[in-house]
Amino acid sequence: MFGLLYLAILTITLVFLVVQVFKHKSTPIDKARREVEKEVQKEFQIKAHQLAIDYVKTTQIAECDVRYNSLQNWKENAHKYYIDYNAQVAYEMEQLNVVKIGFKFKESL
Amino acid sequence: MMAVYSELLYQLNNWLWLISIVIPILVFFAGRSSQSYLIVATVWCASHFINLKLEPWLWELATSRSDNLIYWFSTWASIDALCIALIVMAHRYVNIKLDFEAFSISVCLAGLAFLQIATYLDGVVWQTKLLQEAYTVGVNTGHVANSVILLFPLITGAKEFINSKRKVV
Repeated sequence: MFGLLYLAILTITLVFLVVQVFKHKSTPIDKARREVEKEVQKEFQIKAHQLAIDYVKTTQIAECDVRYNSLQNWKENAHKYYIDYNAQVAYEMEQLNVVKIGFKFKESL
Repeated sequence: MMAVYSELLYQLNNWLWLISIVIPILVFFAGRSSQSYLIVATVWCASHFINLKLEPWLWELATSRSDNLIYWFSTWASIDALCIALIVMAHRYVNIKLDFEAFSISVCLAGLAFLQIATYLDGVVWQTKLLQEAYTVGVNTGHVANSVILLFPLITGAKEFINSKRKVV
């Protein structure tokens, strides 16, 4: 009796898990986003490198001359970098949709 | 014919763990792996290792008394359910979606777990014994299928490589 009860609970759990698996399945849009992110990351690596160099410079300046503003500027740049990154990914995704819509429109003709 | 197939699958099953470890390593070094793939490969390899270690001990326990057969079927079904839960939870933790490999292996594991439950009900509770052959073939085929699914990134990679070569020519 206990065994059957356990199997019944296990069956319900399995059904729940299968539903979760289908719910979290990746879609073609997810795959496209991942590819776009890879490309954008490559472009932003150069900017990230420049930011790393600036960090060392501005920290030195701030320590020596107590020019706190330069460090603040660096922080602003770093913040802008992350905003730019997300905006670039969103822009690329938008472009991808435009291409897709254009292709569908062409096909319909 | 079926008996030969079952025997072949059983023999293959003993080598499967080694294959299941080698394939993800090859995929990783070929640069074809994703986070989702690595999660599912780790879970599958770990579960297969536990299966191999647990099998003799569990078989002894299950066959010592007819009432103990529940332990055999429920343990395998529980391990399969635990693997699916781990795969889903790890994906949610890293905040990624299940790729083709993770999705296929999860569905395959769910199928195996349902087969364990159905075989227990068929063989022990209802005594109809209709699923005996399906159980032997199904479990081993499921294990082989899971390892073959892990090969997919290498197959798609090879396909892309051949296509790119054709374009160049």
